[in-house]
Amino acid sequence: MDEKTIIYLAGSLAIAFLTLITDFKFGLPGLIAALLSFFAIIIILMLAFADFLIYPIFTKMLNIATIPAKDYIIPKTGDAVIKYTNGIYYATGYLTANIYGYTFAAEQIEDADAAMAAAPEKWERAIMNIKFPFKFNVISVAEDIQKYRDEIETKRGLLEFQYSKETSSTNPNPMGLEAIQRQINVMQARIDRISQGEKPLNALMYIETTAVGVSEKEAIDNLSNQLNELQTVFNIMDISITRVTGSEVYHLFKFNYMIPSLKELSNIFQSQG
Amino acid sequence: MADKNEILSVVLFGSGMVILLIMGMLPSGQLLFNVIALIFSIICVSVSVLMFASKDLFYMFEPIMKMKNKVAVINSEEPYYMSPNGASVLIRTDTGVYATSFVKIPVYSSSTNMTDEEKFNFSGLFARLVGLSKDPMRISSQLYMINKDEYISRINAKLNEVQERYNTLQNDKSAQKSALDRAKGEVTMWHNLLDNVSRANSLSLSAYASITVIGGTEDEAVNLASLKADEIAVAISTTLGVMATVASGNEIRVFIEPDYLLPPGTVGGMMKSKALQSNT
Repeated sequence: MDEKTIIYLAGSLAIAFLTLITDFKFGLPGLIAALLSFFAIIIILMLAFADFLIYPIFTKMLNIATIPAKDYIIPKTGDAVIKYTNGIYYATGYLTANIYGYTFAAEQIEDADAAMAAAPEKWERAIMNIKFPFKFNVISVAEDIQKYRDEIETKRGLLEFQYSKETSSTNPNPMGLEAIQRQINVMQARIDRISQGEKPLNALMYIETTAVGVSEKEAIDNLSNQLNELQTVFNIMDISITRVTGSEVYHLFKFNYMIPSLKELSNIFQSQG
Repeated sequence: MADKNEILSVVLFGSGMVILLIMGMLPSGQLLFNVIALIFSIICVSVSVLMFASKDLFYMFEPIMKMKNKVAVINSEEPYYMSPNGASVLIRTDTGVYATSFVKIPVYSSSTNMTDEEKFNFSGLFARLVGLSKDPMRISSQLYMINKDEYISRINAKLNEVQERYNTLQNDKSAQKSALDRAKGEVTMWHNLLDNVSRANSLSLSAYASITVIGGTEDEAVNLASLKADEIAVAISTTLGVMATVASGNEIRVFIEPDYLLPPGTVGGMMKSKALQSNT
């Protein structure tokens, strides 16, 4: 979670909490108000950590469709962008495809090497099984190596301090020690990679596919089938895949015409994928 | 300078706190004040939710307030326009003009011809490609349907031509049997070709990189985007050992427009044959 989100979250939760506390002194109407304040806190937390759930509920409940640009519409389900032209409906949907999550979870450089050697063949096998248009997109920004290394080393130092504190305690927790040691190994693996010449990156990966239909419903149904098929096909690559819904669909639609800055990217994509 | 949504959130926070203060000063115990407190409380929680929502969903506030027939219009204009030289996609905003350029990456090698070491090295090259730019860059691999409309119309023209010749020969009493058989064979050949081309989807795989720059004016943005695209094309060519070139015109539209990804003529034929199949 970035700094801006923390400030917004703190500010809005402060108002909701203070309202909740104040409500209790006003009898039965106060209790009703307290209940509303409690719901407001839940909604704020859901907006912070799972806005992709809240947004479609909101648009579905109020039956709101969105027009992001001329000839395009985002239906109330918030899971596709539809273009109507030449008597054909084109429905475009998105999947997040988090490939680097897997690489870091593997921790061992040897495993990453094996995964890299197998990647081209897996990719070709996946492509051969797909019989409809799709795009695999990677938006990347190279980070400042020195800054990144300093951050990782600081984190490693902190973890080592926690580890030594835990070992010197009278009753050390073996499970906790193991977890800290694992995190230290991850940090060390990242430092080793940078030392070997790899560049640290910020990356966002997503898959996009378009389906057609003679009606909006047919296009959306075909799109869902295509997205399910893509999920099955890309399982071969150990990618964590989630269908994108909510406001992020609008942002991904805009990415076709304009690639955002790193700041905008980190603001938009925090919780999904 | 603060964004509009930052100003709005400060206003919301301030007003929420003021209402909260007034609410705190209300005496308790009387029904009238309890009801006023309930109204204030509803305003306060609405303000708190709106304040947080304004961070990511600010762009939706105005369209929702102005919406008609339950359709919120964020933008009623074309999503982009092409630069005069056709090499960039432009978007005009309050902060400036955004120009996006595309670089085609022709990769023809297949992993089937590679050793394990070559496969590893190829993946390494891709990793280097992804880390080429310090500004956000998108690398895409796109499978799209080839536009066969022109090809199909050429086959149709050829079919009509041979069909006409065959009909003329049929009506000609002096025509040799071998010439008639040949013309008949040609008609069958073009018919079969047309059937095969219409029935199967031909897909093509393309890779490309795209970058966006912002400029104060349209010319500035286009020039900066061209420079950046050339720089990226050179870096890609050096890294992958291929001839990367800057895309323009319809080449760009294939990358961004769904009706170029799935050409209407080709899709129409496909949908017609699908409907015929389901009817039979």
